[in-house]
This record gives sequence, C-alpha cells and structure tokens, in this order.
Amino acid sequence: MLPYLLAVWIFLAGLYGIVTSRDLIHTTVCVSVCQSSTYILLLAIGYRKHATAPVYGDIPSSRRVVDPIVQALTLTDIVVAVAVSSLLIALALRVYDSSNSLDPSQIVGQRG
Amino acid sequence: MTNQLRLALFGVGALCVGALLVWGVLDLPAFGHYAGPYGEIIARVVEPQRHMANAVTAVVFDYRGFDTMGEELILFSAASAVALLLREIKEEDTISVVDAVRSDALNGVGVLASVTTFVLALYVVAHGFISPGGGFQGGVVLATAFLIVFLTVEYHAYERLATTRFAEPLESFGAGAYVAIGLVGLGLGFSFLENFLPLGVTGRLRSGGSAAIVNWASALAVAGAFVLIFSEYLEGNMAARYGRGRRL
Amino acid sequence: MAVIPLLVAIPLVAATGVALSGKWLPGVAADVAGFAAAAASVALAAVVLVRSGGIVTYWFGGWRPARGGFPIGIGWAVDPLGAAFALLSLGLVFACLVYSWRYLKSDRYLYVVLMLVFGAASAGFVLSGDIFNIFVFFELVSVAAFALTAYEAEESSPLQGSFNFAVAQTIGAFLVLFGIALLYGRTGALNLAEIGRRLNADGRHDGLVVTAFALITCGFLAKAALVPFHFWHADAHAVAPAPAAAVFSAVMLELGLFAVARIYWTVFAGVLGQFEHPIRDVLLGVGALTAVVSALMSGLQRHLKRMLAYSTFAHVGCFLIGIALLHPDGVAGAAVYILSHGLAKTALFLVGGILLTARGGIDELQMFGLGRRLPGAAVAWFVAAIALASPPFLGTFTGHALIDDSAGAAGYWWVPIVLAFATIGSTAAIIRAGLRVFFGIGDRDDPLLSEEPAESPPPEEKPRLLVMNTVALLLAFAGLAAGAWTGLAAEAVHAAHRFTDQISYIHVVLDHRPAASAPPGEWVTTTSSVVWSVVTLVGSILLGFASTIRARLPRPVTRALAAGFTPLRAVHSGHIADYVAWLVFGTGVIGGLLAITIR
Repeated sequence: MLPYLLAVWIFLAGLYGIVTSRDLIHTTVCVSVCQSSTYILLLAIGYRKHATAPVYGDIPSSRRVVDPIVQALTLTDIVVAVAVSSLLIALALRVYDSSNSLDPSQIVGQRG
Repeated sequence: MTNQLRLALFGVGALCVGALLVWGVLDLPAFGHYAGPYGEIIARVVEPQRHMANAVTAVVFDYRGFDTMGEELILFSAASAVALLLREIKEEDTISVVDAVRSDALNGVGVLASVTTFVLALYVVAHGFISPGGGFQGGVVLATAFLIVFLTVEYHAYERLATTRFAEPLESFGAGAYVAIGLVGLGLGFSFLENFLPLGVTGRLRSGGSAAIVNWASALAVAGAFVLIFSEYLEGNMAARYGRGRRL
Repeated sequence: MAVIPLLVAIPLVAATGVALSGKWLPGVAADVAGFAAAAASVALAAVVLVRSGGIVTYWFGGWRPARGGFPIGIGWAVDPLGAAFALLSLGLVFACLVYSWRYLKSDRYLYVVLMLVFGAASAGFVLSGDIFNIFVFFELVSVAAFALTAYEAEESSPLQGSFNFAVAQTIGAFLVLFGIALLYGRTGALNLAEIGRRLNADGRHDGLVVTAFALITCGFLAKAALVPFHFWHADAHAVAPAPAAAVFSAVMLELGLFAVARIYWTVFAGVLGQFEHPIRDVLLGVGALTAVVSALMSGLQRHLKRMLAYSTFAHVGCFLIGIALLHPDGVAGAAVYILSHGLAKTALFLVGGILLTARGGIDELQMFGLGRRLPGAAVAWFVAAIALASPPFLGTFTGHALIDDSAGAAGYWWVPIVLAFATIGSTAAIIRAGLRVFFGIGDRDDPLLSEEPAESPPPEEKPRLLVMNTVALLLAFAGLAAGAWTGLAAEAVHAAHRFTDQISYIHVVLDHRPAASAPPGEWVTTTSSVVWSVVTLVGSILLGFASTIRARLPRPVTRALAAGFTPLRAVHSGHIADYVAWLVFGTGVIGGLLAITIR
C-alpha cells in the first residue's frame, strides 16, 4: 500500500507548494511535483511482484511481466507535463518582463 | 486573502481531499498483485499480432497510437505557444552575444559527445520496437545532442545548428506526418492509424509496419519541439545576459 | 463510417500544415486554409450527425474487438448528442475564423492553427468512448486554450491570467487522471463500456469507486467553471481575444459538463445507481450556487468580456442543474440550452471584439455612448441578449422549459426560481451594458462596478466590420431561432434517452448489438413554462434598464449594496495561490459530501 500512499502524499505536497509559493517558477515546479504523483500511482498500480519489463527481446514469452499499459499512459502523461511546464515557464518569463517580479502577490492581477 | 486565511482554506480542503484519496487507494489491489486484463492480453498477443518485442512501444504507437497522436499535438501546440510568447526577441539582440567556451579540451569532448549522442538518439528511436526506447525517448536525446553544443562550444554554434527556423517546421512536420499516416491508411481502405505495411520479423530493425513510420514522425516532432523550446528560452536569456535587449 | 476520424484528422492536418508554411505564405493563405479545413469538418460533422441515429462505433487502428471480447484499442462511440456537440463546436470555430479575417495581425497563422486544434480536440473529446482518450483530448483543448488566452498579452495582468488558468486547469486534469488510475486499478480497462460492464459485474461501491467518481466529477467541474472553480476562467475570458473567449464560453466550459454526464452514464450509472438521490442533491446544490453567485457577479463587472464570462457561468450552473436531475428530460434540456446559449453568447463576445476594433475599448463606462454609430453590432447585442432571456418559444426557452418540467416532476420546486434568478441577473447585466454603450442611456458612473485595467485594442490592418457584423448578427439570430425549432426538443429528448441508457451503450460497443430502441421523444409546452419565460423576459429588460440608473438609489442603499458585495469581490483576488486553495477546498467539500452521502 505504501507506494499508493506515497502518491497521495506527493500530490498534497505539490499542492501545498503551490498555495504557499511566492515565485511563479517555483509554482511551475510544484505543478510538476503534483504531476509526478500521477506517474507513481499509475506505475505502482501496474507493478507485479517477481515480474520483469514487458520487453520480449531476450525473455521467454511466458515470463511474468508488469503491466505495459500503465507505462504507456505514464509516457503520455510525461509529455503533457513537459508541454504544460514549458508553457508556464514562458508565461512566467513574460510576466517578469512586464512587471519585473515573479511574486504573485506583487503582480497586479485582475480582481473582482 | 491573507496568508493565514488561505492556508486555513487549503488545510481544510487538503484534509478532505487527502482522506478521500487514501480511502480510494486503500481499495486498490495490494501492491504487486495487480491482475487486470488489459496489460495481460497485450503482453500475450503483442508478438504474434504485431511482431514487436517491446510491448510498451507497441501500445504507444499501435494499440493506443491514437492517444499518442493527440499527445503529439499537445506538444506541438505548446511549442507553438512558447514560440509565440517569446518571439519578440529579435536576432540583432543576440548577435552581440559572446559566449565561447575557452577550453579546447572541453570543445573537443563536447563535439565528440554531441555526435555520439546524436547517433545514440537515432539508435534509441530505431530500436523502439525491439528494446526500451522509441520516438519520444529518442527525440529527447536527439534534442540533447544540440544542447551539448551550446554547453561545451558556443551559443552561436548552437544557434546555427539548431535554429528555430529549422526546428519549428520540423516539429510541425512530425506532428502533421503522424496524422497524415493515419489518413494514408484510411485512403487505402484501412482504419485510421491501422497498420498497412508488412510487419517484418520480430527483433529485426525493420519490424513494426506502419507504426515504425509513426515512431519516426513522433521522434521528429519531439526533437523539433524540444529544440524549439530550448532555443526560445536561450535566446531571451542570452540577449538579456550578454547582448543588448531585455533584462532578465 | 470511415468519415468519423476525418472530423478530427482534417483540422489537425490543416493546423500542422499552416504552422509549417505560415511563415512564408501570406497571411491570407493561412486564413483560407483555416476556412477550408473548418468548413470541411463542419460538413463532415453534419454527415456524422445525420447518420448517427443509434450509436455508431469506430475503432482506431482497426482494433475492433470480437463480439463480447476485450477492447484492446481505442474506440469511439458516436451518439446523436455527441455528434451534435461536435457539430456545434466545429461550427463555432468556423464562424470565429471567418469573423477574425484580419482581426489579429501578428503571427495570425498561429491563431488559425490554435483555433483549428481547439475545434478538432473538442470534437474528439465528445465522440470518444475511451476514458484516457478523453483525458488526452481535454488536455489538447486546454493547451490550445492556454495559448489562445495569452495570444495578445502585452501587459502583466493578462499574462498572469493565462498563467493562473493553466495552473488551475492542469491541477483539475490531475484529479481526473487520479480517478482514471483508480478505475484502471479496479477494472483493468480504459474503454468506458468495458469499465462500466466490469464495475456492474463487480457490484462493489466501495471507497475506490466513490473516490474515482468524486475525483473525475470534481476535475471536470473545475474545467466547467462551477463555483468555486470559476475564478481562473473569468480571468482567462477577460484577457483572451474576443473570438477565443467566445469559444471558451460556448464550447470549452460545456465540454467539462459533457464529460461529467458521459462518464456518469457509461461508467457509474449502474454501480452507483442506487445513490441517485444524494448524487442529484450534491450536484444540484453546486449548480444552484454557481447560478446565483455568477448572476450577482455579472452585475458588478464593467469589463464587457468579464461580464459576459460571469453570465456564461450563471448559465453553466443551469446546465449542471439540468444534468444533475439525472433524467433524460433534464439532459435534453441542458443540450438544447447549450446550443442556443452557445450561438447567442458567441455573438455577444464577437460584438465585444467589434467594439474593441472599431472603438478601441471594452470598458462599459469608458465606452459610454461610443457604440451609437454601430447599428449592426447593437442589433446583434440585443438580439443575443433577448435570446438568453428565455423569451416565449425563442432562444433558450426550450432548454429552460425542459429543465423546469423535469425538475417539477422530480419534486424540485425551487429549480425554476433559480433558473429565473440566474437568467434575469445575467441578462440584465448584458442589457445594462448594451444600453450604456450603444445608446448612452443611464448614468456615466456606477458605484457598484469594479475597477478594471484598460485593455489595448488588437492591432489590425483594416477593420473588416462588415464581415464581423454579419457573423455576429447571423449567430445572434440563430441563437434566437434555435428555440423556435419545435422538432428540436423532441429530437433532444430521444437522443438523451439514448445517452442515458448504460446497458444499451455497453451492448452496442462491446457486443455489436444494435442500440435498444429509445422511446420517441415527445414534449409539450406547459403553461407554467410560458409564464416563467414571460417573467424572465420582462424581468431582464426591466432590471436592465433599472441598472443603468442604479447610482441614483439613495446613498445609504448603494453604500449598503457595495458593502454587501465587498467580500464577494475580495474573494476574486487574481492570486494563483488563492485559486488553488479554492480548488482544493471545493474538491474536498464536494468530494467529501459525495463520499459521506453515497456510502
């Protein structure tokens, strides 16, 4: 059960980081922390004891392997993470350009 | 909202969400004892059906290749957006950048490492259906080969090799080719993204059928997107630090 | 039907092609390619809709499972409601591309690219029958939306708005993904029908199933701007270019609700069926809260796009009420409501864009009387506003009436009151702004409106006001006429029966059986719905006129009102940490309520 609980913990830790963040780049990193909890959860669900990687190059096809689907899903998840993080960093750079700060409390946002 | 109030709001919410999540995961099959059907079936049929040794790559580019197409377009959209956001840095701002690494040893090792990485990347992409690897992993390694040039040789050398003028079309082409291969299959009377080429022999380089082309298309798209994103970040940073241009 | 994948493939190929060649080709070429691809996909969507009488499956990669076999590929299951939604989103993207002919100058080809991706991804999202595929397409919609939001961002507040939007939407996606992972851990499947079948066979409604349901529901509600998940959506709507904000309002938010409904009826309807009552109560509560709060907020905005955004949220609350009734009539009501709202709201946002282009402003008070010489825009604005006021037998009337009747049958007497409140409040704000801007009626200052930073107009070559006005007018009248189409309600009820029949869905997808015959849709207008519609229409107009001179209320009254709204306004702080705290809080409360009541 521990790996599942670890995923929950990391997810909440990432959220805590975002809520207390004073720097948009730090916020971006915390979003990645949150996202990594989903990798752990997916991979942990598909893990099987005494099993090997699902690559049949040099193992007999009867060999017990871990679930290949969750690995493919994780790969997709990672690419989504890369895309979102790159966009967030670009936005943060532009915010810094125009307001000379990365602290969300100091940047005048839209209110009301 | 004051910091205390925000933390209190978050704390209450996080307690509930945490409890909910724990309640949910405790009903999962015990760690290591997963026995769901999907992966099991794929692991059993992948070799006879697809002549691919690597079940993960088979899922990524064949069984669930349509997901991967969507994901390719996510990367494409994000990279286009990064380019759009960071574009106003003009080339003249970076022209005065002087950022040469002044160590011959480092230059030499760097070039060597870059070339090796480049070849490794092609290997990782090509062997995606045989050993761990594939278009994504290989595409990222491919982009790294260019970044090594920046780290160990000079910014302008990197810029000439991996100019955005070259990376941007490459990325669009890779993503477009992925969709186009699906359309070609459709035109030939197959389903969208169904294999329409000979499958080859398991374990050989020429295995995978049309998924192998899709694999290369996504390698191009990933490498192009990564180089584009790196370059846009670097351009602004370099212009700010060494050239005239914006502060960063 | 081999045309089904083309709905998505054609706009996507065109998008990459435009991106590939956009730098070298003249801007017109990108526009033309965008029109052509969007028009082709609209035509194909119409074909798919006409031929999707039952449920049509399509298996990507040719991985059609044997009868009763396990689906190892990705399957789509196209039903009439999904196909109609795809047609609506592709159609609106096409209309916005026509409208934006020369609207945005810099890197225009990228705008075309992102709009095409947005349209294709939303079509894929509603047609998909695979839960992970749905996740992927929603991420694609979202990334295109983030990019569109930041499209003309030159100042820090729009950029920050886009940043907040991206962070909050992404966390919503993690909630969904967590739920998907839990379902996969239990059933080992990703196909909606297969998950549903396995959950039904298993029969357990334990912590895992409830948590997965709560997470997926909250994650998608967060993408649909339900209170308290609406903050970042208001910011994004305000800063995005007008046509982009239009499709956010008309399509993107509704996608979140569509997913809640689709996943509930394919995956959870069987195993959680005995808990219909608590689920209905929780979701109705969220919908009602959203409708009321957003209607109030729309009365406080002077930034036209932000005001329109809150008006949309009020209607989204009503859509959720329709779905939350968990009855085909309510779903049908939400569907036809979404159609007429989408057309009318797009028209309103496009008029906002016309004001920005022709008069250089989007602020209600700064623009006081400046719209006098824009008759086309004025007509479009007021026609669309009336369409949203649920006038008898026009506009959103059918949707309102279906939801009201369905709620009445289920004993929820208060639903018509909430719908009327949301409609009157949000429409009055639209009418108030229109009277001030287009006719200079009322006062030039308004103590209740919030301060807004000015927005710079988009750089444009020559404003194509004729094209822009025509598109806005056509959409506004289409929104009004949608309610007059009497056959539509019956069709929608029929389609909603199909949409909410889990067993038939599973049989079609996995056993290749023809869809069970859904009862023919029938619907008669009741007296009470006509009475309510007169109330909302008259109420909206009267309150709209009255709001233009609300500054003349006795000073103690305005002061008390302003004081009353201060906390509501203070909550909308523009701070990402606040937004995420609200997101976590909302998920905790809604998820917690579901967990406690379902157990």
